[in-house]
Amino acid sequence: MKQTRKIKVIGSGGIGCHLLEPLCRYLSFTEDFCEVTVIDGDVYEERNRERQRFEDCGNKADETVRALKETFPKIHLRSKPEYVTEDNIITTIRENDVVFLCVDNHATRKLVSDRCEELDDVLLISGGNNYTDGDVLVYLRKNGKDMTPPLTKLPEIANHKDKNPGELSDVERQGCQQEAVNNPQLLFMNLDIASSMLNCYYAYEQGRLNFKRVYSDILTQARRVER
Amino acid sequence: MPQDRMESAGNTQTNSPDTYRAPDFETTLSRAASVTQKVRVVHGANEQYFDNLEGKTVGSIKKSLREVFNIPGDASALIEGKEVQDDFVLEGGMNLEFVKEAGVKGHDLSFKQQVALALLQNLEWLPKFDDMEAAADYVSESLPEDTRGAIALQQKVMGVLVAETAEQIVNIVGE
Repeated sequence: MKQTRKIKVIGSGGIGCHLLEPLCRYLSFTEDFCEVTVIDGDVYEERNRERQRFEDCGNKADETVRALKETFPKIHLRSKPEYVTEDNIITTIRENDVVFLCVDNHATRKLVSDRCEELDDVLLISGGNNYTDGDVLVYLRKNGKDMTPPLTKLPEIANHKDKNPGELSDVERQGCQQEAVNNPQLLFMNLDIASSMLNCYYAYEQGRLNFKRVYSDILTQARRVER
Repeated sequence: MPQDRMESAGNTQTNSPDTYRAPDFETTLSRAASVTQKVRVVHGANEQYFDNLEGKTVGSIKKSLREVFNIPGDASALIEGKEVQDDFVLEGGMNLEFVKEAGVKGHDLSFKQQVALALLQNLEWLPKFDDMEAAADYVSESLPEDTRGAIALQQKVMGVLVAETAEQIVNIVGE
């Protein structure tokens, strides 16, 4: 029986842009009706080309969706060229969504996790990484119950010190750009986390999602699961 | 083409039903007892139990496992979830975890500390504030005061903000 899959991908930067292509390819070959929404208020810039996949500079959500639509016409792709904020979170994440959270700040992670906590059935898969290691957090709610803990169980997310990019001043936004220069990321690590997030989704589909966190380290080739 | 399945018992990824034997109760208890005396060391994906770390300091473990466990120099050490310093001496059965936040831009420091660093490294930023006082207020309000490093950084930034000559700035930043 055909099902409807509603997937939200928040952030189409270092991790998100690599996650979307294989996700859409996988969904294209299912029988289900698939709706994928890409949400990002940021823009691709030339300096992003080192790690990120895009053709033209412009809003990340718009550009990514435009390219994916050509390759995957079967999938209903939509773009929301805005950051997720208090103002739009309720309309962005709804019941029965699968949310891939590919952002680089705890403020958005908290906002999204809190929203998922209000819903009865939702799957949130959040990825983040340092230069050569990173992790994926999984928050699953079924029938109004937490099957795994919300992201806000982590103190650094619950008591985040950073700001939502949608609420940054110009000076702070420049600060973020400077941070990206000061703290470069590695393409291979972004790919690893994107892949790990998709693996979590597959485990969920197979009814085998029995873990809350997956760590990976590409230098030591170690992977560890927390249940 | 699939990779050949490794056949030796230590390398197989699954126990086939006809060769697997559940350990007896005594063996299980004995193994559990030996594990409880081992020190568990974790950094992210890397995890191992060691039986020879009793009496050693956290700093020495961090140094010796730095490459094997990919531990960053500025990672914090936690024993049973509480932060300890490098001179902390380990006992059997302890859980030692090295942590560093993942997935935050400028993860080495908080966002606000990074702004301060950016100020240090890009002095052309300063005119973007309305005036020096506003910049000083911004930095002093933004930086957390709970760590010595942050305070030192704050003092450095404040020094830059009040410096009047390029030479003074270079001296402060170069300290």
